[in-house]
Amino acid sequence: MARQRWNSKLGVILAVAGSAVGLGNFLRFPGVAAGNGGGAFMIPYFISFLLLGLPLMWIEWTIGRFGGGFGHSTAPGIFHTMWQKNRFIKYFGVIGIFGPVVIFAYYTYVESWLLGYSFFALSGHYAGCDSQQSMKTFLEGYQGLGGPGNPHFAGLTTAYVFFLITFVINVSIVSFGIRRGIERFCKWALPLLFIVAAVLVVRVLTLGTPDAAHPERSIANGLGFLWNPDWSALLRGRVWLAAAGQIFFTLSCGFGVILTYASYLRRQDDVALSGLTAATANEMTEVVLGGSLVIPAAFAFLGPAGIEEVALKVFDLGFVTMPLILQKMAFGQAFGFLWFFLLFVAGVTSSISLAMPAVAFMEDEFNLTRREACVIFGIVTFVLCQPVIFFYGNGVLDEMDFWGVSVGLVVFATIEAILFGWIFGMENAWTELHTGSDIRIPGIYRFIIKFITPLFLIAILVIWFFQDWTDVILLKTTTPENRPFVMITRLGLLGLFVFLSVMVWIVWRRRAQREG
Amino acid sequence: MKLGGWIFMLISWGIIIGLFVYCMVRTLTSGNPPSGEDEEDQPGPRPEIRKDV
Repeated sequence: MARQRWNSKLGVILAVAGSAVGLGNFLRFPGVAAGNGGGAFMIPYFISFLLLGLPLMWIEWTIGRFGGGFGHSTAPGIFHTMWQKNRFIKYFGVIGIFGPVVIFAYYTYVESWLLGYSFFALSGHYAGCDSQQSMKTFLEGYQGLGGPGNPHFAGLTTAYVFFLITFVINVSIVSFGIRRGIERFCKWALPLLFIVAAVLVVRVLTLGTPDAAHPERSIANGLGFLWNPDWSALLRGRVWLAAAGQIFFTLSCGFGVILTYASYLRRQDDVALSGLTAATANEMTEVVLGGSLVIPAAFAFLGPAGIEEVALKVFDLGFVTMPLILQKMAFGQAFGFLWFFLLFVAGVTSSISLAMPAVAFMEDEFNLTRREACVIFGIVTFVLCQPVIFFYGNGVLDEMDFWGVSVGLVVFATIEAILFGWIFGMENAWTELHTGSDIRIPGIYRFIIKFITPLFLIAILVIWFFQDWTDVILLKTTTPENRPFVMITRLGLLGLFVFLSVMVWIVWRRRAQREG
Repeated sequence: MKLGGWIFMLISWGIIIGLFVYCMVRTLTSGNPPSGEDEEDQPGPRPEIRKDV
Protein backbone atom coordinates (compact mmCIF):
# COMPACT_ATOMS: atom_id res chain seq x y z
CA MET A 1 0.00 0.00 0.00
CA ALA A 2 1.38 3.39 -0.99
CA ARG A 3 1.90 6.23 1.42
CA GLN A 4 0.37 9.67 1.37
CA ARG A 5 2.16 12.19 -0.84
CA TRP A 6 2.08 15.92 -1.40
CA ASN A 7 0.22 16.87 -4.51
CA SER A 8 2.56 19.68 -5.57
CA LYS A 9 5.83 21.33 -4.70
CA LEU A 10 4.05 24.61 -3.95
CA GLY A 11 1.71 22.74 -1.63
CA VAL A 12 4.46 21.43 0.62
CA ILE A 13 6.24 24.82 0.60
CA LEU A 14 3.04 26.60 1.65
CA ALA A 15 2.44 23.99 4.35
CA VAL A 16 5.94 24.44 5.81
CA ALA A 17 5.70 28.23 5.51
CA GLY A 18 2.29 28.03 7.18
CA SER A 19 3.81 26.02 10.00
CA ALA A 20 6.44 28.73 10.50
CA VAL A 21 4.14 31.74 10.13
CA GLY A 22 2.33 32.26 13.40
CA LEU A 23 1.56 34.77 16.11
CA GLY A 24 5.28 35.41 16.65
CA ASN A 25 5.68 36.92 13.18
CA PHE A 26 3.16 39.66 13.91
CA LEU A 27 3.51 40.11 17.67
CA ARG A 28 6.91 38.89 18.88
CA PHE A 29 9.29 40.04 16.13
CA PRO A 30 8.44 43.77 16.14
CA GLY A 31 8.71 43.99 19.94
CA VAL A 32 12.01 42.10 20.08
CA ALA A 33 13.50 44.15 17.22
CA ALA A 34 12.40 47.48 18.69
CA GLY A 35 13.77 46.53 22.10
CA ASN A 36 17.15 45.35 20.79
CA GLY A 37 18.65 48.08 18.67
CA GLY A 38 15.96 48.69 16.03
CA GLY A 39 17.52 48.63 12.54
CA ALA A 40 20.86 47.47 13.96
CA PHE A 41 19.06 44.35 15.25
CA MET A 42 18.71 43.24 11.63
CA ILE A 43 22.48 42.61 11.39
CA PRO A 44 22.58 39.82 14.01
CA TYR A 45 19.13 38.76 12.78
CA PHE A 46 20.33 38.17 9.21
CA ILE A 47 23.59 36.56 10.40
CA SER A 48 21.54 34.17 12.59
CA PHE A 49 19.29 33.45 9.64
CA LEU A 50 22.28 32.47 7.48
CA LEU A 51 24.19 30.50 10.13
CA LEU A 52 21.37 28.96 12.12
CA GLY A 53 17.93 29.23 10.52
CA LEU A 54 18.72 28.29 6.95
CA PRO A 55 21.02 25.34 7.79
CA LEU A 56 18.44 23.95 10.23
CA MET A 57 15.75 24.33 7.61
CA TRP A 58 17.83 22.32 5.10
CA ILE A 59 18.75 19.73 7.75
CA GLU A 60 15.12 19.08 8.66
CA TRP A 61 13.92 18.92 5.05
CA THR A 62 16.75 16.55 4.12
CA ILE A 63 16.52 14.11 7.02
CA GLY A 64 12.74 14.15 6.76
CA ARG A 65 12.80 13.09 3.12
CA PHE A 66 15.58 10.59 3.88
CA GLY A 67 13.63 8.99 6.75
CA GLY A 68 10.47 8.92 4.65
CA GLY A 69 12.30 6.66 2.21
CA PHE A 70 12.46 4.06 5.00
CA GLY A 71 8.80 4.46 5.93
CA HIS A 72 9.42 6.74 8.93
CA SER A 73 7.78 10.14 9.30
CA THR A 74 8.86 10.98 12.82
CA ALA A 75 12.12 11.59 14.63
CA PRO A 76 12.47 8.27 16.55
CA GLY A 77 12.45 6.23 13.35
CA ILE A 78 14.40 8.78 11.32
CA PHE A 79 17.14 9.18 13.96
CA HIS A 80 17.40 5.39 14.29
CA THR A 81 17.74 5.04 10.52
CA MET A 82 20.54 7.62 10.50
CA TRP A 83 22.46 5.99 13.37
CA GLN A 84 21.48 2.35 13.56
CA LYS A 85 24.43 1.37 15.70
CA ASN A 86 23.12 3.46 18.57
CA ARG A 87 20.30 1.86 20.57
CA PHE A 88 19.36 5.06 22.36
CA ILE A 89 19.18 7.70 19.64
CA LYS A 90 15.52 6.85 18.90
CA TYR A 91 14.62 7.92 22.45
CA PHE A 92 16.10 11.38 21.79
CA GLY A 93 13.77 11.45 18.79
CA VAL A 94 10.83 11.25 21.20
CA ILE A 95 11.34 15.00 21.77
CA GLY A 96 10.16 15.47 18.17
CA ILE A 97 6.74 14.04 19.09
CA PHE A 98 6.54 15.21 22.71
CA GLY A 99 7.22 18.89 21.91
CA PRO A 100 4.54 19.28 19.21
CA VAL A 101 1.91 17.47 21.34
CA VAL A 102 2.61 19.73 24.33
CA ILE A 103 2.60 22.89 22.22
CA PHE A 104 -0.59 21.81 20.42
CA ALA A 105 -2.33 21.43 23.77
CA TYR A 106 -1.95 25.10 24.70
CA TYR A 107 -1.57 26.67 21.27
CA THR A 108 -5.08 25.63 20.18
CA TYR A 109 -6.47 27.35 23.28
CA VAL A 110 -4.66 30.63 22.51
CA GLU A 111 -5.74 30.22 18.90
CA SER A 112 -9.36 29.93 20.03
CA TRP A 113 -9.09 33.37 21.68
CA LEU A 114 -8.37 34.75 18.20
CA LEU A 115 -11.49 33.12 16.79
CA GLY A 116 -13.47 34.52 19.71
CA TYR A 117 -12.05 38.01 19.25
CA SER A 118 -12.77 37.87 15.48
CA PHE A 119 -16.40 37.36 16.44
CA PHE A 120 -16.27 40.05 19.16
CA ALA A 121 -14.76 42.55 16.70
CA LEU A 122 -17.62 42.07 14.24
CA SER A 123 -20.33 41.99 16.89
CA GLY A 124 -18.94 45.00 18.74
CA HIS A 125 -18.62 43.06 22.03
CA TYR A 126 -15.57 45.03 23.19
CA ALA A 127 -16.67 48.30 21.56
CA GLY A 128 -17.31 49.86 24.98
CA CYS A 129 -13.72 49.32 26.11
CA ASP A 130 -11.94 52.58 25.43
CA SER A 131 -8.81 52.28 27.57
CA GLN A 132 -5.96 49.81 28.06
CA GLN A 133 -7.36 48.94 31.49
CA SER A 134 -10.91 48.25 30.33
CA MET A 135 -9.66 46.17 27.38
CA LYS A 136 -7.47 44.21 29.78
CA THR A 137 -10.47 43.60 32.02
CA PHE A 138 -12.33 42.28 28.98
CA LEU A 139 -9.43 39.89 28.18
CA GLU A 140 -9.16 38.70 31.79
CA GLY A 141 -12.89 38.08 31.90
CA TYR A 142 -12.66 36.00 28.73
CA GLN A 143 -9.76 33.99 30.17
CA GLY A 144 -11.70 33.35 33.37
CA LEU A 145 -9.31 35.44 35.46
CA GLY A 146 -11.69 38.25 36.29
CA GLY A 147 -13.64 36.51 39.04
CA PRO A 148 -17.39 36.81 39.54
CA GLY A 149 -17.29 40.62 39.40
CA ASN A 150 -16.08 40.82 35.79
CA PRO A 151 -18.48 43.06 33.83
CA HIS A 152 -18.03 41.21 30.52
CA PHE A 153 -17.99 37.45 31.19
CA ALA A 154 -19.56 35.38 33.97
CA GLY A 155 -17.20 32.42 33.46
CA LEU A 156 -15.34 30.35 30.93
CA THR A 157 -18.35 29.20 28.89
CA THR A 158 -17.75 31.55 25.94
CA ALA A 159 -14.02 30.76 25.83
CA TYR A 160 -14.78 27.04 26.02
CA VAL A 161 -17.22 27.15 23.10
CA PHE A 162 -14.65 28.89 20.89
CA PHE A 163 -12.01 26.40 22.06
CA LEU A 164 -14.24 23.46 21.04
CA ILE A 165 -14.80 24.96 17.58
CA THR A 166 -11.06 25.60 17.12
CA PHE A 167 -10.13 22.13 18.34
CA VAL A 168 -12.59 20.42 15.99
CA ILE A 169 -11.36 22.52 13.03
CA ASN A 170 -7.76 21.47 13.71
CA VAL A 171 -8.39 17.75 14.16
CA SER A 172 -10.76 17.70 11.16
CA ILE A 173 -8.17 19.21 8.81
CA VAL A 174 -5.55 16.70 9.97
CA SER A 175 -7.99 13.81 9.62
CA PHE A 176 -8.35 14.57 5.91
CA GLY A 177 -4.66 13.78 5.48
CA ILE A 178 -1.68 15.42 3.85
CA ARG A 179 -3.12 16.10 0.42
CA ARG A 180 -6.83 16.59 0.99
CA GLY A 181 -6.49 18.16 4.43
CA ILE A 182 -3.29 20.06 5.16
CA GLU A 183 -2.19 20.87 1.60
CA ARG A 184 -5.63 21.94 0.45
CA PHE A 185 -6.13 24.12 3.54
CA CYS A 186 -2.70 25.78 3.31
CA LYS A 187 -3.11 26.44 -0.42
CA TRP A 188 -5.92 28.87 0.27
CA ALA A 189 -5.03 29.91 3.82
CA LEU A 190 -1.51 31.23 3.09
CA PRO A 191 -2.48 33.43 0.11
CA LEU A 192 -5.48 34.66 2.13
CA LEU A 193 -3.19 35.43 5.06
CA PHE A 194 -0.82 37.45 2.82
CA ILE A 195 -3.73 39.38 1.31
CA VAL A 196 -5.32 40.20 4.69
CA ALA A 197 -1.92 41.22 6.12
CA ALA A 198 -1.24 43.41 3.08
CA VAL A 199 -4.64 45.13 3.46
CA LEU A 200 -3.90 45.87 7.11
CA VAL A 201 -0.37 47.10 6.31
CA VAL A 202 -1.70 49.50 3.66
CA ARG A 203 -4.29 50.77 6.16
CA VAL A 204 -1.67 51.32 8.88
CA LEU A 205 0.91 52.93 6.58
CA THR A 206 -1.68 55.40 5.27
CA LEU A 207 -2.71 56.55 8.75
CA GLY A 208 -0.28 59.48 8.61
CA THR A 209 -0.63 61.43 11.85
CA PRO A 210 -3.92 60.27 13.38
CA ASP A 211 -3.88 62.79 16.26
CA ALA A 212 -3.28 66.36 15.07
CA ALA A 213 -2.62 67.45 18.69
CA HIS A 214 0.46 65.16 18.71
CA PRO A 215 2.25 65.71 15.38
CA GLU A 216 5.25 63.65 16.55
CA ARG A 217 3.01 60.58 16.79
CA SER A 218 3.16 59.67 13.10
CA ILE A 219 3.43 56.36 11.27
CA ALA A 220 6.85 57.43 9.90
CA ASN A 221 8.12 57.96 13.44
CA GLY A 222 6.52 54.64 14.41
CA LEU A 223 8.55 52.92 11.72
CA GLY A 224 11.54 54.86 13.06
CA PHE A 225 10.93 53.37 16.53
CA LEU A 226 11.42 49.95 14.94
CA TRP A 227 14.09 50.74 12.33
CA ASN A 228 16.31 53.62 13.56
CA PRO A 229 19.63 51.84 14.23
CA ASP A 230 21.20 51.90 17.68
CA TRP A 231 24.76 50.84 16.91
CA SER A 232 25.71 50.38 20.56
CA ALA A 233 23.26 47.42 20.66
CA LEU A 234 25.69 45.39 18.54
CA LEU A 235 28.15 45.37 21.42
CA ARG A 236 25.63 43.74 23.75
CA GLY A 237 25.59 39.90 23.83
CA ARG A 238 21.93 39.97 24.86
CA VAL A 239 21.00 41.49 21.49
CA TRP A 240 22.80 38.75 19.52
CA LEU A 241 21.12 36.11 21.65
CA ALA A 242 17.71 37.72 21.11
CA ALA A 243 18.28 37.71 17.34
CA ALA A 244 19.33 34.04 17.36
CA GLY A 245 16.30 33.18 19.51
CA GLN A 246 13.91 35.02 17.22
CA ILE A 247 15.26 33.26 14.11
CA PHE A 248 15.15 29.94 15.90
CA PHE A 249 11.54 30.22 17.02
CA THR A 250 10.17 31.88 13.90
CA LEU A 251 11.24 29.20 11.41
CA SER A 252 9.59 26.26 13.24
CA CYS A 253 12.92 24.41 13.18
CA GLY A 254 13.53 22.04 16.07
CA PHE A 255 9.88 21.11 16.54
CA GLY A 256 10.09 17.94 14.45
CA VAL A 257 7.21 19.10 12.24
CA ILE A 258 9.23 20.00 9.15
CA LEU A 259 10.85 16.59 9.03
CA THR A 260 7.41 14.97 9.23
CA TYR A 261 6.13 17.13 6.36
CA ALA A 262 9.29 16.41 4.32
CA SER A 263 8.93 12.66 4.89
CA TYR A 264 5.98 12.68 2.47
CA LEU A 265 8.25 13.82 -0.38
CA ARG A 266 9.65 11.49 -2.99
CA ARG A 267 13.32 10.68 -3.29
CA GLN A 268 13.78 12.95 -6.32
CA ASP A 269 11.79 15.89 -4.94
CA ASP A 270 13.81 19.04 -4.30
CA VAL A 271 14.50 20.05 -0.71
CA ALA A 272 17.17 22.77 -1.10
CA LEU A 273 15.08 25.33 -3.00
CA SER A 274 11.89 24.33 -1.18
CA GLY A 275 13.53 24.89 2.22
CA LEU A 276 14.88 28.26 1.12
CA THR A 277 11.51 29.31 -0.31
CA ALA A 278 9.62 28.36 2.85
CA ALA A 279 12.18 30.25 4.97
CA THR A 280 12.02 33.42 2.86
CA ALA A 281 8.19 33.30 2.81
CA ASN A 282 8.29 33.30 6.59
CA GLU A 283 10.85 36.15 6.67
CA MET A 284 8.77 38.26 4.32
CA THR A 285 5.72 37.79 6.52
CA GLU A 286 7.71 38.64 9.62
CA VAL A 287 9.94 41.55 8.58
CA VAL A 288 7.93 43.23 5.82
CA LEU A 289 4.33 42.60 6.96
CA GLY A 290 4.73 41.92 10.70
CA GLY A 291 7.15 44.84 11.14
CA SER A 292 4.75 47.29 9.50
CA LEU A 293 1.69 46.64 11.61
CA VAL A 294 1.76 46.63 15.38
CA ILE A 295 4.64 48.93 16.27
CA PRO A 296 3.89 51.78 13.83
CA ALA A 297 0.18 51.66 14.70
CA ALA A 298 0.80 51.54 18.45
CA PHE A 299 3.32 54.40 18.21
CA ALA A 300 0.91 56.57 16.24
CA PHE A 301 -1.86 56.14 18.82
CA LEU A 302 0.03 55.70 22.11
CA GLY A 303 3.18 57.72 21.51
CA PRO A 304 6.75 56.75 22.47
CA ALA A 305 6.04 56.39 26.20
CA GLY A 306 2.97 54.23 25.70
CA ILE A 307 4.63 51.91 23.24
CA GLU A 308 7.64 51.21 25.44
CA GLU A 309 5.22 49.91 28.05
CA VAL A 310 3.60 47.33 25.78
CA ALA A 311 6.24 46.51 23.11
CA LEU A 312 7.49 43.30 24.73
CA LYS A 313 4.16 42.04 26.10
CA VAL A 314 3.03 39.80 23.26
CA PHE A 315 -0.50 39.02 24.47
CA ASP A 316 -1.14 42.61 25.56
CA LEU A 317 -0.04 43.88 22.15
CA GLY A 318 -2.34 41.49 20.32
CA PHE A 319 -5.40 41.40 22.54
CA VAL A 320 -5.36 44.76 24.35
CA THR A 321 -3.46 47.38 22.37
CA MET A 322 -4.33 46.41 18.80
CA PRO A 323 -8.13 46.12 19.22
CA LEU A 324 -8.06 49.44 21.03
CA ILE A 325 -6.15 51.09 18.20
CA LEU A 326 -8.19 49.50 15.43
CA GLN A 327 -11.38 50.71 17.11
CA LYS A 328 -10.18 54.28 16.70
CA MET A 329 -9.89 53.93 12.91
CA ALA A 330 -12.67 54.33 10.39
CA PHE A 331 -14.31 50.91 9.80
CA GLY A 332 -12.66 49.79 13.03
CA GLN A 333 -14.92 46.76 13.43
CA ALA A 334 -13.99 45.41 9.99
CA PHE A 335 -10.26 46.01 10.55
CA GLY A 336 -10.50 44.49 14.03
CA PHE A 337 -12.06 41.38 12.49
CA LEU A 338 -9.35 41.23 9.79
CA TRP A 339 -6.60 41.52 12.44
CA PHE A 340 -7.87 38.65 14.59
CA PHE A 341 -8.87 36.54 11.62
CA LEU A 342 -5.36 37.00 10.18
CA LEU A 343 -3.82 35.74 13.42
CA PHE A 344 -6.34 32.91 13.65
CA VAL A 345 -5.47 31.64 10.16
CA ALA A 346 -1.75 31.96 10.97
CA GLY A 347 -2.40 29.98 14.14
CA VAL A 348 -4.31 27.15 12.42
CA THR A 349 -1.63 26.66 9.74
CA SER A 350 0.86 26.23 12.61
CA SER A 351 -1.23 24.03 14.91
CA ILE A 352 -2.19 21.49 12.22
CA SER A 353 1.54 20.96 11.62
CA LEU A 354 2.00 20.35 15.35
CA ALA A 355 -0.55 17.54 15.21
CA MET A 356 1.19 15.69 12.41
CA PRO A 357 4.19 14.06 14.17
CA ALA A 358 2.02 12.20 16.71
CA VAL A 359 -0.56 11.19 14.09
CA ALA A 360 2.17 10.05 11.66
CA PHE A 361 3.91 8.09 14.46
CA MET A 362 0.75 6.09 15.13
CA GLU A 363 0.18 5.52 11.41
CA ASP A 364 3.76 4.46 10.64
CA GLU A 365 4.75 2.52 13.70
CA PHE A 366 1.43 1.04 14.89
CA ASN A 367 -0.18 0.63 11.44
CA LEU A 368 -3.29 2.54 12.51
CA THR A 369 -5.45 4.19 9.88
CA ARG A 370 -5.32 7.97 9.78
CA ARG A 371 -8.84 8.23 11.19
CA GLU A 372 -7.94 5.96 14.14
CA ALA A 373 -4.73 7.93 14.77
CA CYS A 374 -6.64 11.24 14.68
CA VAL A 375 -9.27 9.99 17.14
CA ILE A 376 -6.57 8.89 19.62
CA PHE A 377 -4.64 12.14 19.12
CA GLY A 378 -7.83 14.15 19.58
CA ILE A 379 -8.73 12.39 22.84
CA VAL A 380 -5.23 12.70 24.33
CA THR A 381 -4.70 16.36 23.43
CA PHE A 382 -8.25 17.28 24.44
CA VAL A 383 -7.48 15.95 27.93
CA LEU A 384 -4.14 17.82 27.95
CA CYS A 385 -5.91 21.07 27.00
CA GLN A 386 -8.16 21.04 30.08
CA PRO A 387 -5.57 22.11 32.69
CA VAL A 388 -4.44 24.89 30.33
CA ILE A 389 -7.99 26.23 30.15
CA PHE A 390 -9.06 25.83 33.76
CA PHE A 391 -5.73 26.66 35.42
CA TYR A 392 -4.52 29.28 32.96
CA GLY A 393 -3.84 31.77 35.70
CA ASN A 394 -1.73 29.29 37.68
CA GLY A 395 1.26 29.05 35.37
CA VAL A 396 0.27 25.80 33.60
CA LEU A 397 0.57 27.30 30.11
CA ASP A 398 3.95 28.88 30.88
CA GLU A 399 5.29 25.58 32.22
CA MET A 400 4.18 23.71 29.08
CA ASP A 401 5.65 26.45 26.90
CA PHE A 402 8.96 26.22 28.77
CA TRP A 403 9.42 22.46 28.27
CA GLY A 404 7.76 22.21 24.86
CA VAL A 405 9.31 25.26 23.20
CA SER A 406 12.25 26.73 25.12
CA VAL A 407 13.93 23.47 26.14
CA GLY A 408 12.53 21.00 23.59
CA LEU A 409 13.37 23.06 20.53
CA VAL A 410 16.97 23.84 21.35
CA VAL A 411 17.80 20.32 22.55
CA PHE A 412 16.13 18.69 19.54
CA ALA A 413 17.76 21.05 17.04
CA THR A 414 21.20 20.49 18.60
CA ILE A 415 20.78 16.70 18.37
CA GLU A 416 19.65 16.75 14.76
CA ALA A 417 22.42 19.18 13.71
CA ILE A 418 25.11 16.93 15.25
CA LEU A 419 23.47 13.80 13.86
CA PHE A 420 23.32 15.28 10.38
CA GLY A 421 26.80 16.77 10.12
CA TRP A 422 28.80 14.29 12.21
CA ILE A 423 27.07 10.92 12.50
CA PHE A 424 25.35 10.74 9.13
CA GLY A 425 28.52 12.35 7.77
CA MET A 426 28.96 15.51 5.73
CA GLU A 427 29.53 13.60 2.47
CA ASN A 428 26.25 11.68 2.83
CA ALA A 429 24.49 14.80 4.08
CA TRP A 430 25.65 16.97 1.16
CA THR A 431 24.73 14.29 -1.39
CA GLU A 432 21.33 13.76 0.20
CA LEU A 433 20.67 17.53 0.36
CA HIS A 434 21.42 17.94 -3.36
CA THR A 435 19.51 14.89 -4.58
CA GLY A 436 16.82 16.21 -6.92
CA SER A 437 17.82 19.76 -6.01
CA ASP A 438 16.77 22.71 -8.16
CA ILE A 439 19.60 24.90 -6.81
CA ARG A 440 23.24 24.40 -5.88
CA ILE A 441 23.92 25.44 -2.28
CA PRO A 442 27.20 27.38 -1.86
CA GLY A 443 30.07 25.13 -0.73
CA ILE A 444 30.67 27.27 2.38
CA TYR A 445 27.55 25.65 3.85
CA ARG A 446 29.40 22.32 4.15
CA PHE A 447 31.56 24.06 6.76
CA ILE A 448 28.66 25.99 8.30
CA ILE A 449 26.43 22.92 8.68
CA LYS A 450 29.21 20.80 10.11
CA PHE A 451 30.85 23.27 12.49
CA ILE A 452 29.10 26.62 12.89
CA THR A 453 25.46 25.57 13.31
CA PRO A 454 26.11 22.88 15.98
CA LEU A 455 28.49 25.21 17.85
CA PHE A 456 25.96 28.06 17.64
CA LEU A 457 23.27 25.75 19.05
CA ILE A 458 25.48 24.41 21.84
CA ALA A 459 26.37 27.99 22.80
CA ILE A 460 22.68 28.96 22.93
CA LEU A 461 21.89 25.83 24.95
CA VAL A 462 24.61 26.53 27.53
CA ILE A 463 23.90 30.27 27.83
CA TRP A 464 20.13 29.85 28.13
CA PHE A 465 20.57 27.03 30.62
CA PHE A 466 22.59 29.15 33.03
CA GLN A 467 20.98 32.50 32.23
CA ASP A 468 17.28 31.64 32.13
CA TRP A 469 16.44 27.99 32.59
CA THR A 470 17.90 27.26 36.00
CA ASP A 471 15.62 29.80 37.68
CA VAL A 472 12.56 28.34 35.95
CA ILE A 473 13.57 24.75 36.72
CA LEU A 474 14.14 25.63 40.39
CA LEU A 475 10.75 27.44 40.46
CA LYS A 476 12.38 30.75 41.38
CA THR A 477 10.19 32.54 38.83
CA THR A 478 7.00 30.89 40.12
CA THR A 479 4.87 32.43 42.86
CA PRO A 480 4.43 30.21 45.96
CA GLU A 481 0.68 29.76 45.36
CA ASN A 482 1.29 28.54 41.80
CA ARG A 483 4.03 26.04 42.68
CA PRO A 484 1.70 23.04 43.26
CA PHE A 485 0.07 23.60 39.83
CA VAL A 486 3.44 23.95 38.12
CA MET A 487 4.83 20.83 39.82
CA ILE A 488 1.78 18.74 38.86
CA THR A 489 2.10 20.00 35.27
CA ARG A 490 5.80 19.11 35.29
CA LEU A 491 5.06 15.59 36.55
CA GLY A 492 2.35 15.22 33.91
CA LEU A 493 4.77 16.25 31.16
CA LEU A 494 7.37 13.82 32.50
CA GLY A 495 4.72 11.09 32.45
CA LEU A 496 3.88 11.94 28.83
CA PHE A 497 7.54 11.77 27.83
CA VAL A 498 8.00 8.40 29.58
CA PHE A 499 4.79 7.09 27.96
CA LEU A 500 6.01 8.09 24.47
CA SER A 501 9.42 6.52 25.16
CA VAL A 502 7.72 3.26 26.20
CA MET A 503 5.70 3.34 22.96
CA VAL A 504 8.94 3.66 20.99
CA TRP A 505 10.44 0.77 22.98
CA ILE A 506 7.38 -1.41 22.23
CA VAL A 507 7.55 -0.61 18.52
CA TRP A 508 11.22 -1.59 18.24
CA ARG A 509 10.75 -4.68 20.40
CA ARG A 510 7.92 -5.90 18.19
CA ARG A 511 9.98 -5.19 15.11
CA ALA A 512 12.93 -7.13 16.52
CA GLN A 513 10.65 -10.07 17.35
CA ARG A 514 9.21 -10.03 13.82
CA GLU A 515 12.65 -10.03 12.30
CA GLY A 516 13.68 -12.88 14.59
CA MET B 1 12.31 58.25 11.03
CA LYS B 2 15.99 59.01 10.57
CA LEU B 3 17.87 58.41 7.31
CA GLY B 4 19.62 55.37 8.85
CA GLY B 5 16.23 53.86 9.69
CA TRP B 6 14.94 54.29 6.13
CA ILE B 7 18.16 52.75 4.75
CA PHE B 8 17.95 49.73 7.08
CA MET B 9 14.27 49.21 6.39
CA LEU B 10 14.57 49.44 2.61
CA ILE B 11 17.69 47.25 2.41
CA SER B 12 16.11 44.61 4.68
CA TRP B 13 12.87 44.65 2.71
CA GLY B 14 14.82 44.55 -0.57
CA ILE B 15 16.90 41.52 0.44
CA ILE B 16 13.92 39.57 1.73
CA ILE B 17 11.47 40.41 -1.05
CA GLY B 18 14.17 39.85 -3.69
CA LEU B 19 15.07 36.44 -2.30
CA PHE B 20 11.42 35.47 -1.93
CA VAL B 21 10.57 36.46 -5.51
CA TYR B 22 13.66 34.63 -6.84
CA CYS B 23 12.71 31.47 -4.91
CA MET B 24 9.08 31.58 -6.00
CA VAL B 25 10.00 32.12 -9.66
CA ARG B 26 12.49 29.21 -9.51
CA THR B 27 9.94 27.03 -7.74
CA LEU B 28 7.11 27.76 -10.15
CA THR B 29 9.22 27.48 -13.30
CA SER B 30 11.32 24.41 -12.43
CA GLY B 31 10.41 21.38 -14.46
CA ASN B 32 9.99 18.95 -11.58
CA PRO B 33 6.66 17.13 -11.64
CA PRO B 34 4.25 17.21 -8.69
CA SER B 35 5.43 15.23 -5.70
CA GLY B 36 3.17 12.23 -6.20
CA GLU B 37 0.02 10.83 -7.58
CA ASP B 38 -0.64 7.84 -5.39
CA GLU B 39 -2.32 9.09 -2.26
CA GLU B 40 -3.61 6.30 -0.10
CA ASP B 41 -5.52 6.53 3.13
CA GLN B 42 -4.07 3.39 4.62
CA PRO B 43 -0.61 3.33 6.17
CA GLY B 44 1.98 0.88 5.02
CA PRO B 45 5.55 0.41 3.90
CA ARG B 46 6.88 2.69 1.22
CA PRO B 47 7.04 1.51 -2.35
CA GLU B 48 10.58 2.70 -2.80
CA ILE B 49 12.42 1.69 0.37
CA ARG B 50 16.09 2.39 -0.16
CA LYS B 51 19.08 0.59 1.15
CA ASP B 52 20.52 1.83 4.38
CA VAL B 53 23.58 4.08 4.42
